[in-house]
Amino acid sequence: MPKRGGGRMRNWKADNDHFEHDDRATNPRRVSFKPGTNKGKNKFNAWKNTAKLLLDDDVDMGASGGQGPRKPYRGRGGRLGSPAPRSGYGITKKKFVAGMLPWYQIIIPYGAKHDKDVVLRALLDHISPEIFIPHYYKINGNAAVFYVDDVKIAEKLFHADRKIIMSDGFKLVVIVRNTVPNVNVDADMKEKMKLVMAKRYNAATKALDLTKFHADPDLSEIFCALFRPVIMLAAIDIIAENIPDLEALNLNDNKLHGLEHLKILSTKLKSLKILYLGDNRIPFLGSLDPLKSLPLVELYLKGNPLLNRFNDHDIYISDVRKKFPKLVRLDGVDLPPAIGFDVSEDVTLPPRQQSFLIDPAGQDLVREFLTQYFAIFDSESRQPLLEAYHESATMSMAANYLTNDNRNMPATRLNQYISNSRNIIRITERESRRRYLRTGKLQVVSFLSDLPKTTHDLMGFAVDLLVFTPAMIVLTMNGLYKETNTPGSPTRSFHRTFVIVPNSGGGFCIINDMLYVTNTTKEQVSVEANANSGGGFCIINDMLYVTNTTKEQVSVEANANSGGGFCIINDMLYVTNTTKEQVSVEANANSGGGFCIINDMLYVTNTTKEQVSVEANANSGGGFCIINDMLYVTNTTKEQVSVEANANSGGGFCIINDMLYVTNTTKEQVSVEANANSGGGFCIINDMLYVTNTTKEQVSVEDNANSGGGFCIINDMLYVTNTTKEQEESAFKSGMPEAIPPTPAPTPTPAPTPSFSNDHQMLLNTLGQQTGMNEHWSLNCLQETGWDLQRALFIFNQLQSEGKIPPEAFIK
Amino acid sequence: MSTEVVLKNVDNACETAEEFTRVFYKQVDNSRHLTSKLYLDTGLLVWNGNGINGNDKIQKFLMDLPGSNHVLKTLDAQPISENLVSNKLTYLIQACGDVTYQNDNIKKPFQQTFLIVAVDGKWKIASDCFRLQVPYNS
Repeated sequence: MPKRGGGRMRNWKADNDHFEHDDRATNPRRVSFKPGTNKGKNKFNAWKNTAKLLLDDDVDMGASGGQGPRKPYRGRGGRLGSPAPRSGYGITKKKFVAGMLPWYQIIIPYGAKHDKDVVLRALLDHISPEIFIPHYYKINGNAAVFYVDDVKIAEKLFHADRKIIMSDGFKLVVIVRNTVPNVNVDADMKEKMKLVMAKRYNAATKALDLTKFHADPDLSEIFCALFRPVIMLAAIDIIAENIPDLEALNLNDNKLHGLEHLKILSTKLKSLKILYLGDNRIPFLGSLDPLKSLPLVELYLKGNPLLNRFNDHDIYISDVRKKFPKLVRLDGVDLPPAIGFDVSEDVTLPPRQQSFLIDPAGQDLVREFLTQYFAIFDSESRQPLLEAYHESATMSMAANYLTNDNRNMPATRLNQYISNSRNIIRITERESRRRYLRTGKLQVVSFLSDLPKTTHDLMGFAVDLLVFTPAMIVLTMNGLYKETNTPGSPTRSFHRTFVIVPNSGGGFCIINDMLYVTNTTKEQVSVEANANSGGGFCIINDMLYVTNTTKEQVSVEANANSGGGFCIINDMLYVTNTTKEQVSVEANANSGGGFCIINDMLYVTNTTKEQVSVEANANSGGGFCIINDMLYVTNTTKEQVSVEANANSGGGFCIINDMLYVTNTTKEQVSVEANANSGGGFCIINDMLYVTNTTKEQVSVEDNANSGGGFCIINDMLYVTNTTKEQEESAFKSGMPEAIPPTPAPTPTPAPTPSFSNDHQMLLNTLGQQTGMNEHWSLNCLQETGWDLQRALFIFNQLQSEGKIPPEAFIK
Repeated sequence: MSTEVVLKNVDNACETAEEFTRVFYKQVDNSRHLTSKLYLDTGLLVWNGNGINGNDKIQKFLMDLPGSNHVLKTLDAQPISENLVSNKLTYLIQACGDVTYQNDNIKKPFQQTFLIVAVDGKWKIASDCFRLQVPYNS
């Protein structure tokens, strides 16, 4: 028992003392619950007991007094010897106390001796004219156990204890406990519920009648009471799966009490308009709050305790309406029409359009103008924009933060703009207002040149052509651009207006330019990364840290031209001290290909040119995947590391845990290529490559699968260092020996057998040089060792140290 | 035009923009039925890419929008060279801030550009381009 039981114990003892003085002879069983002695206190005690009971199904319920198992008391030493009687049999005046739960367990000890029908008939006869439905009747050991869901019946049965004499002469003992059957909602039960619900569903009215659900004859086997949240939630899931457009739900007479879990109704059943909750146990109007977001037009609440709390029916109606303003019918009665406010709350915004053109004739001109303008604007130098501005052009820029934008990252800071912002709400000085308006094309272009370098997403522009006359064009743009040279490459949202006039040379120039810059909203960012047709991709957790770079150093491109999808997750890129196009992570899926890079870590320092390129191309239908790619490169000079993964057609491949560590290399040193030209697939797992001090094309790991082939390398470790002199001398000089007929016996002829292959001749020479033996003996030695130079040398050394080689062997 | 006149015109554009936006958003938010009076008879409203031509149609379009509350955060204004616009005083005004519509009560950033022109002693909107800051490249 929890500690709290101690408190109860003290109460109980005090009660006990009390009864010892006053009451013992007449009603000793009262001690536990003291019915009748003090109404208020009794209530309190009952509440306490039931509250405990809710926590622990095993705790004996108050109503049965001393009859049931006395766990609470037995749990404490010494209580067994308490003056409380261990059994109350024979004591006539028992008081039934209603419990908090709507269900009562009826235990008939030794009920197993009789047929179910005999027991039930005896009980029914006894409490006649009342009738009851025994739920879930079962034999448990010697006892028969069943449940009733009616407090009145429970009380009658309670009083039937030891009143009925059975055929065997014993009195029928009846124990009543306020408890609910335990039940697990499994697939089997859900299936049964579904069938019953299907039976109770009216497709014509989209109405589901779950009145007294647990009493459905088809559910007699299982305890399926909707007042239990787990069962109600299962029921709602079944409804949402099978009749998501349900409009009316009848939950009358289901002993519902708390409705907190019904909150999900508003998300699961969006069309629900009619809800019947009559004859339940809903205690307060406030208990309905979880249902407030349902747009109910009809509600039935009669038969709930909450109604008793209202003396005035009008106040009741008005309070219910406050919670459900759209209600037109309550408790089966049409409500007088509510007088509301015509605030047109259902009005929606008109759909937005990508562009508006006052004159379609202007489309090409505008497109051409903007394409040219932003091509220069996004280039290295904005100076050529001088041509695009009128001699007396004016330009102003204003910038501001988004409201309630909690992002406080370096990338979202607009300092570079705000310091030049001509927001006249803030800039109130006449002089300042004049100064912040850039006038004349020189001033304008010089100002524009100082703005961060950008790349505009021209395809994503929303362009409105407002004025299109021979003398004047006014157009506004809304769109996004990326700052290419700012750490983190932040994306900004802008709104810009051009007033364009014809210039003397037959072209056009801008006379008014007004720019507003702000950060992108979450919405804008999420759509910004998009695929041109049907493709989708996703970059999650891309961290990029770049320092001291000068030119387009880092480009992370993700293109899915048609139907391709790819995904970069946890891409970390750390680059320092690089000078040119150093790192490019490209992921292209040209058609239908999909790929995925997970956990790509790239660390590059002190490199000078096109050093690291991680390319992943899936040209058609190919898919590939790089997981945990770690690349660490230092002090390299040229095209050092290239990790390419191409799947030209239908091929798929996968690199997992690729670690590459390269130092002090000079040229094309490491190339890990994985090509699957057609239908091939391959897989590299746990490739570790460590390279030092190499000079040229040193290491190349190539994996080609030209047609339909598949292969797989698992756990490849490579360690490379400088070669020794011997290695250089011996390596690459000869291939594997060919199978040639060995010369049978050593012949005295010193001339080498001309049938020797070059390879063998070379081995012969090498052995001769290294051992000093003559050709004949060398040949002998090699032939005996199967033309294995190493073995031949080994044997020579061994024999010589033993002095077994005759001196004539060295005579040439 | 002398430099002094040009600069005075710049000052005037700013002051007019302040006054104009005060009136305009008050009308749109509180007295929308009167808003179309601020437009030229041949005025143009481009609302999120939906073009509405003419004072009457603009009035009807505005009346169909949910109730609104605009909060102005950023304002900018420039004068337009008068010889472009038949020597009528014309200003370009850019107003940015947040708007809340009653249908969803969500604050949305918006940007709006007006061309206003002085006609018979009254400022009238020749064109009004309104854009919510939402993704357009989808």
